[in-house]
Amino acid sequence: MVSVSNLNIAIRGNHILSDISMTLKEGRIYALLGENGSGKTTLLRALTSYYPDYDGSILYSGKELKSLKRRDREALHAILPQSLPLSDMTVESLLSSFPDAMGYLKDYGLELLSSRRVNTLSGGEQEMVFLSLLLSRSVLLYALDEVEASLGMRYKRMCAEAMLSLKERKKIVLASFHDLNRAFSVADELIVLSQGRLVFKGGKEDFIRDEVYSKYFDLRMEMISTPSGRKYIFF
Amino acid sequence: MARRFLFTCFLSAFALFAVLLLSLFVGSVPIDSAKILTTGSLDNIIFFSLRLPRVFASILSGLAFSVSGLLIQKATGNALSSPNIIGVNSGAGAAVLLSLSFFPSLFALLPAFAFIGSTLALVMVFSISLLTKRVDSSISLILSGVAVNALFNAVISTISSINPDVMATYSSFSIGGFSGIYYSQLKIPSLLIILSFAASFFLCKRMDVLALGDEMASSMGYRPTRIRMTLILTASLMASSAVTFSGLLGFVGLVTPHIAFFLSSGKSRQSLILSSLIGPALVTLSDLLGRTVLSPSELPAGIFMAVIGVPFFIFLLLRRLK
Repeated sequence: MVSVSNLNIAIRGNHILSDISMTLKEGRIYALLGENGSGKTTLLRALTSYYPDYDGSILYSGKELKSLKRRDREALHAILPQSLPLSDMTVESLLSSFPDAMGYLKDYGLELLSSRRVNTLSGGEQEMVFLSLLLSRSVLLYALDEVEASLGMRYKRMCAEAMLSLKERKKIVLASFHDLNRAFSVADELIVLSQGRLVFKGGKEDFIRDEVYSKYFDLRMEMISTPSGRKYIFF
Repeated sequence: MARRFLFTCFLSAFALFAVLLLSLFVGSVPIDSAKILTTGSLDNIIFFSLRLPRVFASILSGLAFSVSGLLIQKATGNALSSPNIIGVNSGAGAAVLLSLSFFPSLFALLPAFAFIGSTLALVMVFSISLLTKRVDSSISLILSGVAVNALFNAVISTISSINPDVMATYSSFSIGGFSGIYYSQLKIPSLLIILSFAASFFLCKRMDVLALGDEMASSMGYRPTRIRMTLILTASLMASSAVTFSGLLGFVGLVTPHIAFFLSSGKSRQSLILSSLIGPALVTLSDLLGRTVLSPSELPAGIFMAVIGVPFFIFLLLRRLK
């Protein structure tokens, strides 16, 4: 379990995150939502030790993140950043320090990429390479920063399946989304940030009941019921 | 993959060995290998007091600049970085010029001045880059390097226009070379260079992690800023030590890591091993050419470093852009 309480992050005097408190539980997928600049990336970074010092507390199974040793932190969290590093290496040598990563890449049918240089791949292919790297690490919390933004339909589906398999392995998945519809179809719970504050955290029913979509995203909701009784929600 | 790398290592080591042998036995004065061990013979003196220290010096400086360049390129994530970028060259250059024009009697302390100058430049680059508080990027490091370089180059230009007499001595220092080198000049620098070289092997894993970007590096528990500092400090220790006896030979520090990258998979350990073989070979070869092409007169090694390095560098650039 990861508990965040009264977390504040300020960069050069600007408060990016103010007073965030929340609890994340094993075996759940959380979708992190919010407009541009609402603090999603900063929160994902804070939870993966990007800031050596922070105000407030981030507890991983009761232990304060910033006071832990390097090896302990390495075993706790992994991130797939929004902007990927430019690498001139081949996929094979990039992944050589992560023994299981090539296996994941094979599962995606992308083993042919292994001899190509990373910076010659398309955006989506690069994303899949680093997704394989992420999955090869065995940690508690997996943070994915707008992973779907550069993915086509097929890779989006694979990525969603990867999140579900992490969930089955009792991991915590925290993924930021811009597309509410995608967030609804993948996540168990939704977390909404607005101007650096946590304004909503809860299930889909609460999200709809509280009309969060209209308050913070200026969206309307349509629900379509099919004759078979299934409900489809669109924003 | 490992096999190919071993083969490349073997070839580079062989090339280095061949260049070293050539360097020891070829020069403006032919030496008779049978008489080398006869004490007091001319061959003996030339071999042990002129050629050997010179070859030692070129190996050390090739090693120092190349590994330093590799560490700096890894620290900044920028393929254009070299020891020059953290002000090693301009700092040492300005200090040497200042000492030549204001304390000409302290000629023997020139290496110490060079070391102080390059260290001062480094401290300035670091302080400016820390003041910007852009912990997330290496751009601030490169930009403050550019600023400090500009400042020291202005000092160099000022002194050279006020006091043109010192320029003759300065120009040979600024091109870089090994003529008139003697053992005691190498004592302290060689110790520092070998220690830092040994230390860089422990930094390989960190260099690879840093290449994944600050976010992934942090998520693996590392502190990217701390890694960068360690890399730059080690690199500058090596480069400033080498500057004291070989002058501003920094170009090798730009070229060698690129050759090493081209010949390996790009993992830091492989690049480090190859750089440590190729760098010394390149510098020793440049010095050999400098001594022999216009024999009996000499050209500084720095000139041939450019003659060999530039076409090779352009070749690599074209290969990579394809």
